[in-house]
Amino acid sequence: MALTIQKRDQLFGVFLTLPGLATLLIIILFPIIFTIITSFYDYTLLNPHHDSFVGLDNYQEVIEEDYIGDSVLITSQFVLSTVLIEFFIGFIIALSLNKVKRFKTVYYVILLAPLMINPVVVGLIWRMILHTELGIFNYLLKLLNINRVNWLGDNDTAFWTIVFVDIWHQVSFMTILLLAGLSALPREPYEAARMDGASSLRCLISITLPLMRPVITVAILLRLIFSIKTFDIIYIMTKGGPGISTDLVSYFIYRSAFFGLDIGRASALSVGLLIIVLFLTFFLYKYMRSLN
Amino acid sequence: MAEIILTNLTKIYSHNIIAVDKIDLKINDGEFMVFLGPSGCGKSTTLRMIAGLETITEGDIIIGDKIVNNVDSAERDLAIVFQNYALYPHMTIKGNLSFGLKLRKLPNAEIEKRVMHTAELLEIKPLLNRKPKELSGGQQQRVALGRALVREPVAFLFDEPLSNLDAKLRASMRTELIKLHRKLNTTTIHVTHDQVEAMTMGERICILHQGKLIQLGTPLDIYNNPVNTFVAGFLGSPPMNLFNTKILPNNDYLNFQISNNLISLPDKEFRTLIKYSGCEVIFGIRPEDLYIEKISKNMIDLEVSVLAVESLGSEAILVANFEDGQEIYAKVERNFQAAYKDKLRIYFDYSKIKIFNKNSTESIKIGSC
Repeated sequence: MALTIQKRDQLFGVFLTLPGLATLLIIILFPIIFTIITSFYDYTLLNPHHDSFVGLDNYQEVIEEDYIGDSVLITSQFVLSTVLIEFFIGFIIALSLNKVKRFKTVYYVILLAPLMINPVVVGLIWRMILHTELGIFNYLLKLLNINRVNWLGDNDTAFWTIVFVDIWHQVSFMTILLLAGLSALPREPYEAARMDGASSLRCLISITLPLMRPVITVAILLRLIFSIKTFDIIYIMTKGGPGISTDLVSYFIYRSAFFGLDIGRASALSVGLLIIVLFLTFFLYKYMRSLN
Repeated sequence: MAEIILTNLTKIYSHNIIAVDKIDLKINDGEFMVFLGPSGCGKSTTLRMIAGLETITEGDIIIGDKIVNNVDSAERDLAIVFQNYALYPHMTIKGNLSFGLKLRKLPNAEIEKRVMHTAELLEIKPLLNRKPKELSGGQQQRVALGRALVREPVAFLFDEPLSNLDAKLRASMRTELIKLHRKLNTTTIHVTHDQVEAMTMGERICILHQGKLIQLGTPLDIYNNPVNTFVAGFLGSPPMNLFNTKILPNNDYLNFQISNNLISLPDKEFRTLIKYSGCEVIFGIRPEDLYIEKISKNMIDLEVSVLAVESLGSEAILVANFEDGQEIYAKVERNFQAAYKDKLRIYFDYSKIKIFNKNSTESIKIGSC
């Protein structure tokens, strides 16, 4: 029986998407399912087999784990500080760049440069810049007769140093998103406001911020999702230390898996993190749908 | 309330683009002035300079008795209504109306009174708690108008406020704006590219073209006496028929050859044209001055070939051409019928013709002296 044109179109569509779908399944869905399954087994690197089903034991262990609370707290602090500071700096830069008419491309290139660098490279560069003995930061401090600071090795400074490096690396992402939002705003309400006698600050509060709310929400949510998963710069710069002062959940999982060798427990942790990220993503998706 | 005077007003954008070219104009206190012209003629730029939204390259703007070149928009006490309404999308209608008043730190009771009064005047009271996006285009336009009215400014500036409305709504808003102006008697400048708007609304029309003020006058004056072929061709629908021809004197007559037709005018009634004998001119006649039968003795006829009859319901437009292909439009009565390529004679009263100088495109005065 001959297929209808619609059916044939559908079939052709499926045929075209198959390679992409297959790739996605292999590189994304398979690890996720593997992780979820593993989280219910006593699966260690010493005995890497799915032969001892332990039910929710791994999850129980994770909850009872001594340091997990600290790690969650540190991660929350890290996520909140990076995202909020990035938002404020990004918004200020976006506002000033939005007024720029000449050399816009130059600013864009400068802005995008950090984003284009691999996080591992960012970590290495900053580790050198902040090096206690050889780093240029401490050299400059010495010129000013200020004592050297052990940026990454001191409990008091390590966390904020990591926050600073992450902001340096990611702030342009926020800036670009906000700048795109700002440049898409209609011009007329501002002219109407000018005729109404509104000052620049009043325009910012009464027009820009309310009009930008959707863009701001999306930008912050996107950065939240990325920030929760931060791993690379911790791995390169501090390895969670000193002590546990920069021990983000992602690094905690890594340690459980490859130092503790307990893949089952690390999987349970990963599933937990996945649920949080999924929840945020779902919220983002719902919000973006509601905008239309 | 105030008069607005523009002297030598000029706006030059970068790359030496002249948007507005030395405009001198006085808009009387309480007058409804229309700036009319095709897009890019500088009408909106002129309005925006008056509003203070564009800087002035040269010249002065005087509102009341004060030069306002360097006065901030807010302090000029003008209110503008934009083409796309420019409402504050996140504020309620009430918020939109009261925003400007709050910024001017008016007492709350006064704000409430003015908002209510304006809402009643424009019949938007039931909409006060809604957001702009919940309103139709026509309603949004009323709110935009309300936002201007509520301020009680010295003058209103309307920047093509009706162009985004559908034809029916536009016609009714036109009438309402005129009524409103009669009631408030506030100086108003209305920018439009729509000649119907200009003709029906303006007490005076100012026609702009390529940044220059071309003609200023009452609607009828401009319609009846266009200063050049641009105005003649811009006003009227269909516009004035314009034909290139030459003035050839012959005994007591001035002859014009338009394709296969020779038009002879008695030179004693067209003495002013005699000095243009031999010159190339443009011959103009309005479509409504053309008839399909001879109705008075002063009528001259033209032989044309029918191309189409476009029925508009209340009337029809006869489109025809001469042997050389030049087209001519005539307004005919609604039941008129003719077939394609029918040969037809159409008539006009020679006192209705306009003659323009071909080189300068300017109108040549017609008269017996």
